[in-house]
Amino acid sequence: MISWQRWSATDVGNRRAENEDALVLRDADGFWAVIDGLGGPDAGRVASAALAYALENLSLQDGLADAVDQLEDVLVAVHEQLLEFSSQQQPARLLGCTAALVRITQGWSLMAWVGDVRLYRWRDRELKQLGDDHVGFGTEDLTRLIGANTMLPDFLLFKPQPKDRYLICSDGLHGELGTARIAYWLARDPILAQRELLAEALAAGGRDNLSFVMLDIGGDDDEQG
Amino acid sequence: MSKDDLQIVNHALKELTRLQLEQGMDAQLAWQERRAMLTAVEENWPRIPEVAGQDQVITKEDSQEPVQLNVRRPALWVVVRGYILNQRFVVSAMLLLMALMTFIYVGLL
Repeated sequence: MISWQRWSATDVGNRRAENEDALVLRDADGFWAVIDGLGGPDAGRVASAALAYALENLSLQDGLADAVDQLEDVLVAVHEQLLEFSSQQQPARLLGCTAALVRITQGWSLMAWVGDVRLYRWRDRELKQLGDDHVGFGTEDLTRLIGANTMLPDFLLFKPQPKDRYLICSDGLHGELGTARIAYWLARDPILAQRELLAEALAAGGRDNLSFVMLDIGGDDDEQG
Repeated sequence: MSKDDLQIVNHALKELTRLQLEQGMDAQLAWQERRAMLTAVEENWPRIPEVAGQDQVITKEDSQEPVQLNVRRPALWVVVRGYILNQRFVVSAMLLLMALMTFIYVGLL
């Protein structure tokens, strides 16, 4: 039986007027999300808050197939609401969000994602990115966004093991630090890692809002967080 | 037992999404394929090996300098494969075959 403990942070950064990111932290349900809103003031925040609200109030399905259907349904529903909302603006404006959602259960674990919010796994002193960014080849331009064009999330199944550490983070973090520094801090004490990931990203520029959720996986003998 | 079991599932999930986005596969059919596959996966979850997935080792502990991500320009075979994959009929047939094989394989575990 696996257990988990969570650390997280979100910060406006050094350049932005407001924090358009949102976190969903349902520790008891094994469900977390990092949402990165975009579209500028009063737009990106609307997008990320809409998705966060939907996820916070979701009655989670138990079965894997049902859970995948459910997460896809809610992401598509919010996507369509944001499309409708943005079309009502005069002039119509681009707003939306990217997100990575993680569910861990005793029976299965999955990630759903849209855009460039990433899930990293730290295991056996190696850092891996699970999934890939929805960006154009050789560019940082998003090819998928909740709230624009046609959108479907991607899904990935994975198997957490005791002593794994997972990091879900927005591009405000992985864009500032890079993988080497992320690996460096993930190898450290979790409280130190939580503090220093944030501090170092801000010191490196903090050009975007930055948010992350860090999860430590334990086994039968560990206390569930 | 192959170490690539969950990798195949993850690849199939990604292909199902891609095909729907490119309108190369009916959404209802894709949904049915996904449900059948995920139901089989859940039933056999303890026996399915850890996923290699689409992930990649990108750095080791204590790296101090930024590392180059393992992103390369596509090789010729990748370009050729991309061309083939763009042929919707071929893709659909391959996907159905892959999903069926995965379903049967997982069912036999």
